Amino acid sequence: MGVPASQAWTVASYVLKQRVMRRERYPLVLMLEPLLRCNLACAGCGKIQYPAHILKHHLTVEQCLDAVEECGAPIVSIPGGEPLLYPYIGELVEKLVERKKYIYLCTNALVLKEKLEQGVFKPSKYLSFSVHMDGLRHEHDQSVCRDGGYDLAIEGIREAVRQGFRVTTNTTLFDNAEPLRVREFFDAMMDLEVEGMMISPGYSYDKAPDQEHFLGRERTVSLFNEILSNKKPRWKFNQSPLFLKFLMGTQELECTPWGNPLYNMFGWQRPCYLLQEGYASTFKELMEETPWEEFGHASGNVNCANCMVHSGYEPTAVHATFASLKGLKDSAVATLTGKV
Amino acid sequence: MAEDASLQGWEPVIGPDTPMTKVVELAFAYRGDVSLDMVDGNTIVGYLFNYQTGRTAANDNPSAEVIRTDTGKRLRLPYDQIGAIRFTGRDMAEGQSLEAWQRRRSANARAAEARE
Repeated sequence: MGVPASQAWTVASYVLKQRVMRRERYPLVLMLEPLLRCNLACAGCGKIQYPAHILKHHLTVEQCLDAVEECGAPIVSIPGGEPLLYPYIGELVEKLVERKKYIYLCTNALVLKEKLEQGVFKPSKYLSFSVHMDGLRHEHDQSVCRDGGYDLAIEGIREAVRQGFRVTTNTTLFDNAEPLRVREFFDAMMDLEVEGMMISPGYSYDKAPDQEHFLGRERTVSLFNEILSNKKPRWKFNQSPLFLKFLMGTQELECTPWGNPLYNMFGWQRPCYLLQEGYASTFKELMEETPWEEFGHASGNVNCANCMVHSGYEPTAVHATFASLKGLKDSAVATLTGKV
Repeated sequence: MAEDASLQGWEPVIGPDTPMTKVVELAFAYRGDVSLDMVDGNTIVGYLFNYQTGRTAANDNPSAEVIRTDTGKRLRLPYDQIGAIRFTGRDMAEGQSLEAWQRRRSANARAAEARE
C-alpha cells in the first residue's frame, strides 16, 4: 500500500466528518503555491510564464498558513514554481507539521540533495517529497528540457531516502509515452525504495510550449491500460486505486473541481488547479460564487473535455471510496491484491 | 489576428468590435505586462492578474486587478476609469517551444562534437 495507514485514517475520518455534516462541497488537498519561480522550463508546463517582477514575488509564511487555516483540507500539496527556491520553505514545512497537515512537497529535486545536506528539513510522517519524474533519463530530460535533470533528481531521491524521508514520485504522461519504457521506469523508481508513485495524464495548458503531445480521453485510457494491465505487485501507487481504474476506463468518475483548490500570490484560483479564469479573494468566495456546474466533463465545457488529471478526479475517487460499501470494497480489494 | 498569435505590441482601440470587457479578458490571459491609460490621463504599467465581471455578490462593479511593475502594489481599477489597454510588455509565453529547446540541444551537441 502506497499511502501510510495514519494518513489514510486522517483522510477517511475527514471525509466521513464532511459527510456527517452533509457538506456537499469540501476540499481534500490544498494546492499551495508560495511562488511561481522555477529553475526549469518544462515543455508541458504552463504555470511559470510570467514577467520577472511577478516571478520575484512570493507569499509570506503567514499568508500560506492563513490559506491553510481558511481551506481546512487535511493535505497540503506545495507545488509552484519550484518550492525549494522559496526562501522560507523549511519554516513553512515545520509549521505545517506542527498543525498535523500531511504535506506533499512537489519538487523537481534539482536542489533537493543540497537542501537536505543543509538540514533544511527534518523527517516526519507528515512530510513527503513528491519528486517530479517524467520517465527514464531520456524521457525525463526531454520533458523538463534539461540534460542532467534526471541524474540530479535521482541523487536527491537517494539522499532523501537515505535520511529517512518519505519520498514519492509524480509523473505526467503525454501521448509520446511508450508503455514498456514507463514500466521500466516504475521498476527503476521502486528500486530507489520510494514509498509510492503518482501518475496522471498531462493537461493541455494553453500557455504550455508543447501543445502537440497532450492526451485525449480515448488515448489516455488506451495508454494507461497498456501500462497498468498486468501491473507488477512491487509497484506501489500513492493514490486511490479507483483513480487508477478510472484512467484505465474501468471506473466512471466525474470531476470534483473544488477538491484541490489552489492558492497563490493572486488569490484563490477559479475554478480549479488547471483552468485559470480569475481569482477569488477568499476561500469562501471561491466555494460559494464559482459556477461549478459549468465545469467538469459532464458540463460539456470544452476545456474539460479531455481532462483526466488527478487534481480533479482523485478527490472524486476518494469520495467514492467512502460514499458506498461498494466503493470501500473496490478500494480495499485493489489495495490488498495490488490489482486495478 | 490568428487565434494563437501573441498580442505583444497590440494597441486596441476600444469600440463596438473590441469592447473593454473583451480587451480585459485578453489582457488577463496575456503573460506579459500591459499599460493601462486611465481616463484621468495617468498611465499604469503592470501585470493584469484578475478581473471581476461585476456579476457576483462580492463585487458588483466590473473591475480589473493589476500588480504594478514599479512598486509591486496591487490596484483594483473599475472598467469605467480605464480608457485603453496596450500590450506593451514582453509576452513570456512566446518563443519557448519544445522545438526551440530541441534545436538548441542539437546545436550544443554538434558544437561539443566539433570541439572533440
